[in-house]
Amino acid sequence: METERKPLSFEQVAIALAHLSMIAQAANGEYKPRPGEIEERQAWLSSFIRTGQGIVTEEDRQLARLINEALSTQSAKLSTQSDAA
Amino acid sequence: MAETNNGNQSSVAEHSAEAVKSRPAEHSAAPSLTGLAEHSVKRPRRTPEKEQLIKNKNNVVQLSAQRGIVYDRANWKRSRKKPGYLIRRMPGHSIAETEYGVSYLRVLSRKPDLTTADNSVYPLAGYFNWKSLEASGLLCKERKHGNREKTAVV
Repeated sequence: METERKPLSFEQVAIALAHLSMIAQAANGEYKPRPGEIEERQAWLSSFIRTGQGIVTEEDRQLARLINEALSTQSAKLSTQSDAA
Repeated sequence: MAETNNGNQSSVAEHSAEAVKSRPAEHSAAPSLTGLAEHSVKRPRRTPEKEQLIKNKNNVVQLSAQRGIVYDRANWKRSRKKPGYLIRRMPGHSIAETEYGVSYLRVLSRKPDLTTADNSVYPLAGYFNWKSLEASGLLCKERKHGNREKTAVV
């Protein structure tokens, strides 16, 4: 999991912030992403966080899928709990 | 008597001078031993959390309150869709504007003109809307040359 990190450039950091902003806008309902777009941006960000680069590997895509699965099961649990209450 | 009175006055004057001298000691870090300093009203000192909050607030202001950037052809492109705004250039990428935002396209070849927006291989490529560009500092208002010394250096 541990990979060599290179020093970050302004461009990389700015693009990472822009991806984050796009995800946040989609979550707030301000922006309607096309199917699979958020997963792509998630994979890019996970690659950036892990390696300091934005070159997406299958590992990053898998990580994004796992996070989404975990989040969806968690939200399903929460909704069943609120229904029971 | 006059001499003694004068002597008393001078001694009072000396004490008052001491008192005046001792005042700055209240603000010094070392604890003062004079009575005046003991009886003085102590101001509530700022807690480290409060100081940290103020620092953070200042950082936020510095980050968000960009006054604008002077146009520099090498680093910025004038937006056609949003007049008065500059779009940050990326090395090896061309900028394609739409009504909704900007696509950074990685230039694969010039003749023939081949570009790609695949950001899984080329990290700086991809599509971003105006709001995200502005939030990330990739889109800035253009500042005219009048106050050049106050402009943000990027």
